[in-house]
Amino acid sequence: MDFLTNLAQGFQIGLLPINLLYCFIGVLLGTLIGVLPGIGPSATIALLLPTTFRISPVSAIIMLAGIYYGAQYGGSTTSILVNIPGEAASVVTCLDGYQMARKGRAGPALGISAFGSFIAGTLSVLGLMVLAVPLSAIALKFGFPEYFAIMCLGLSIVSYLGRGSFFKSLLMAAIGVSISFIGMDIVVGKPRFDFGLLVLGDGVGLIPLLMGLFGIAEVFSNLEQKNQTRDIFQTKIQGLLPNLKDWKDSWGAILRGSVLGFFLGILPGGGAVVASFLSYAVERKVSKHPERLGTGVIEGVAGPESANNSATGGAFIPLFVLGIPSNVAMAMLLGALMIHGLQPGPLLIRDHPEIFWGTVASMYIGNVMLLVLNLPLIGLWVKLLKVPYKILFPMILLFCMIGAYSMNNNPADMLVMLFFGVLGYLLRKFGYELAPLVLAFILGPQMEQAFRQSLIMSDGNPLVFFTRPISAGAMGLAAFLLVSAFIPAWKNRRKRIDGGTP
Amino acid sequence: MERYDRWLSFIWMALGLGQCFESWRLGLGSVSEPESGFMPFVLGLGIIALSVILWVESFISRKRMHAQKTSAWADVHWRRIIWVSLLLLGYALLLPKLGYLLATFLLLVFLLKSGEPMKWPVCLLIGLLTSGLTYWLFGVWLSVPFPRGFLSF
Repeated sequence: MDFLTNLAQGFQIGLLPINLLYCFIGVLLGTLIGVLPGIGPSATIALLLPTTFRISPVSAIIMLAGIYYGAQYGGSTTSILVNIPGEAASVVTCLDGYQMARKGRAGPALGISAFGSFIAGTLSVLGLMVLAVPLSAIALKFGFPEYFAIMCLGLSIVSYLGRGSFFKSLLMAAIGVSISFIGMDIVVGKPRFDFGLLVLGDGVGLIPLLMGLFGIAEVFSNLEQKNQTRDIFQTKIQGLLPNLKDWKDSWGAILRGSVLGFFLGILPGGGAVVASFLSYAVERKVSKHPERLGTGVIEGVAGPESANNSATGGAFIPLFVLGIPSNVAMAMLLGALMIHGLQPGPLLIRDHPEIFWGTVASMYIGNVMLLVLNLPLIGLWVKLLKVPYKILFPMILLFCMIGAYSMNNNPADMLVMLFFGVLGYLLRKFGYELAPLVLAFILGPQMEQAFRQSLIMSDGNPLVFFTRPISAGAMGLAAFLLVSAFIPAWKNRRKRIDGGTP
Repeated sequence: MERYDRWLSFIWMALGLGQCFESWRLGLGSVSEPESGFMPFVLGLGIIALSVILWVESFISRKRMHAQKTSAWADVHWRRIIWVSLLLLGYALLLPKLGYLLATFLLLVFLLKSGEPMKWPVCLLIGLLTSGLTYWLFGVWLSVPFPRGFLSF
């Protein structure tokens, strides 16, 4: 009964005109950046974070969450029509989606992608709603050692599932935590690692770091390439509603993708990208004609598109239940909640139910908005693809500069952002993953507090992390991942996963 | 790439050593009462260990990487990236002196000219419209106090 009362309260919040407006802005922007290759949801959330300072926390989270799940809808459009994925999670959609477009079936491909996304998105919100509350009740029993161990495990999984060398990713996580040490020691209020620089006195700001690593660095990566032209497949898009045969072929793929995506979304580092690839692999496995996948069959679009949307709902579980983000976009939402004075974690659902239930309700509403937006407006999205990057990139850079400045109205923050932009670009070029760095930077202060408090409460016994069942399990799994990176057979298995991840 | 990886591993090692030294200077405390430098010190040791692993890994992966002829650094439009970085640096430094509108207008015009060829009137028009619109959006609507500069706007 509580459940229905809470959901009704959530809808009361989500249906407020102001929240409907922010939800609409979020999903619209999400679709827009999903359509446009060269800017992702993480960069967009970072860009728009400063605009949420003056609005209520629930409206801010509704809008930023809308950008995140909206981007998964938009990403498929470019995959199908241009063979360029708008988002990494839509890479696999190119395989069958573009082939369908070439056969004159762009309409059903876009249609099933939107309907599959809607069904999966709705199912994953249902899963989030059902699982988050009981899990948060369990999480309330966690102590400092459990939190520290789970954060270590989260960072290990993110590093393990990252591209390239596991040790490079792990190093990035270590650097991320180290950057979080800059500024005031939260326990004793002592300045450290600020090198006497005033701008570092309060530590490195979240916004300059995020915008630098994901906004500026992304623009630099795009600018380094010689001029590119996008060839939009010239076809008349008609018959967006899939026919009965299309539905018969797709429904299984949609359900499988939804379940797979939801659970992979919960895993740190898993998320939409891995979900879409694994869903495609599953479809190939269960298909009676696996050889047809890749030639333009509808289940090759329905499965991955459902999986990547479902993963977005799952990704909210660790954020709301433990206060631990599972990917960069969730890390930004965590940052947004913290900027608004809220501490994500099990207490959030208990103490601020309006945030959790308002966001959940808005996700139902947002999914309906996305379905309405995507089908009739596909023509408009295609036109948007023609906006040249030479006009787009100065705008992105300007928004980054304004965003960094508006944090403290201090031009020095723009210099910090520029530093991280150049650093992020170079690290990418050298094959280093940025996601572990950002996640570790955000988790750093909590990790340090949990680490120090655990040692204090155990009177300096480091075995405290290995004697309590949950922390021992998490530390054991983290240690296993570390050791497995040295074992050739496991290393090869990891490479196979990596090979499927763009 | 393995050559860069080797050099980078030295940089990471130096960073780890620096972190350990600074942490030690801050004060480590004891295991039962860790102070400000304790966890940074432990992490510094971790960075040193990882840099050693990456250094060793650069030798192991040498053979594999040797076969990969195309470099990630080939065909990079360096001049454009450096120019854009300098423009952003100049913007951050000159914003308080020039004020938001003038500095943003200049930044946009030069950024637009730094991409593919674009006619001056188009650049000037986009620069003018965007700086005005963003000033209205952020400065007026969202009340961000932008610096006014020597021209007082």
